[in-house]
Amino acid sequence: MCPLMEDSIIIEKFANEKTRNEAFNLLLKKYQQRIYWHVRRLVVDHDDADDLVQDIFVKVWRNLENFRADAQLYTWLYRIATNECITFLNKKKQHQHMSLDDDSSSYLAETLTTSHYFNGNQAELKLQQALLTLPEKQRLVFNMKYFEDLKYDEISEVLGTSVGALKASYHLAVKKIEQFFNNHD
Amino acid sequence: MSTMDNKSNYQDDLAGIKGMPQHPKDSPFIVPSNYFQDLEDKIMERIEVIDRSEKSLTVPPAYFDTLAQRIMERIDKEESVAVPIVRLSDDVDHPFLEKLKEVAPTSGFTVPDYYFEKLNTTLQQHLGTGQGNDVEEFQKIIPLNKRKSKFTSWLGYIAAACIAVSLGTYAFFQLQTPTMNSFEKELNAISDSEIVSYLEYYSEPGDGAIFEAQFEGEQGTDQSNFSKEDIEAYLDYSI
Repeated sequence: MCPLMEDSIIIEKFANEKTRNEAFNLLLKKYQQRIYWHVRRLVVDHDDADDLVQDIFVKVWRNLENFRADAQLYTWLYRIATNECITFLNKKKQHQHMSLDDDSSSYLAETLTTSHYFNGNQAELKLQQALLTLPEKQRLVFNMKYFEDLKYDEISEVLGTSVGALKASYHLAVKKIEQFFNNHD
Repeated sequence: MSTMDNKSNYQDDLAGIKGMPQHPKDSPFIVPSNYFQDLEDKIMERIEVIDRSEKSLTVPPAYFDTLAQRIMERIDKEESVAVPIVRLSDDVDHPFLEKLKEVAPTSGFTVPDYYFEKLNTTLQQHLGTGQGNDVEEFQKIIPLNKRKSKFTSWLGYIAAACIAVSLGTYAFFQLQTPTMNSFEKELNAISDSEIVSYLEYYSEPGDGAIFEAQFEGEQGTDQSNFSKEDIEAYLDYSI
């Protein structure tokens, strides 16, 4: 991930009103794409991701002053982004008249097929379809590990889940995806 | 039936303990008749049966000498063909993942052209961070031509408006129509003579002018239908 030093400089600059704007510009340049892709992989649709990214950075702007330096900035950003996504997905479920207890992400399948901004090959499309059969937690862990290449420790810090549970989630996700690929040859 | 043998029971000893409740001398439990007399014979019979079965069931020579070794060999063999224990670590990936990363290295999602450049500018402008302003109020940019979610929310408003208009129209006619119908029904139920007598009795002096003005048009049209003979006859009769 990002060097801790740079984050500390950003936070320090943000604390000073004179350099606050500069600090936020640095933060945007550094994290906007990472946060966007994290959100996009979860909500699938670009417009929804765009809305959420803007909401997330507004929250960051308003709360960065209260950020405690004992945590890493990127995990704090990821946590905000993840919470916003989960809230959004729960609302979407309610809109689809689905129970919040229903763990499946299948309600996003239509969004995937109608998305204008998908340019993957057949295998990548199949992988996304497989991911949408997973419970949200497993999808989240898989995305963070497979696409974002985060370490379990880092994911654990973001999600507040033990490393052991994350490994189990990832393993289950991989098995289910493998099964999906075998059944959809 | 017989009672339990109480010859050497503990009741006497317990009775000596301070605070111990006084139990009855005879136990409430009973056994079948002659149970203890037959018990010894039953036990002996059982021993004979066990002895006979052990003599009839044999094992191969040196069976127990090699049993432990054979059990260990079996365990080794089963472990070698068993599903390997999944190692959940950062270093070892599932074999399927290696193949997957070759064919599906990315999520396949794309963004509109120059999206990130615009996003950066948008956020900076509206947070006031790009121009040195202290604007903290943020207005989220929502492109109207791209906002599927906003469009669906507008659909919601339109649908709500349609329902409101429909309900209003229905309510209007429901309020109007029954009044008209009931009025007409009541009016039809009253004979013309009753109405004429009512008007003659209750009409005010000024009512004539009102009725004249109200039915002016009708009178005009009716006058055109009168023949000269009718008018002359009316005048002859009236004057």
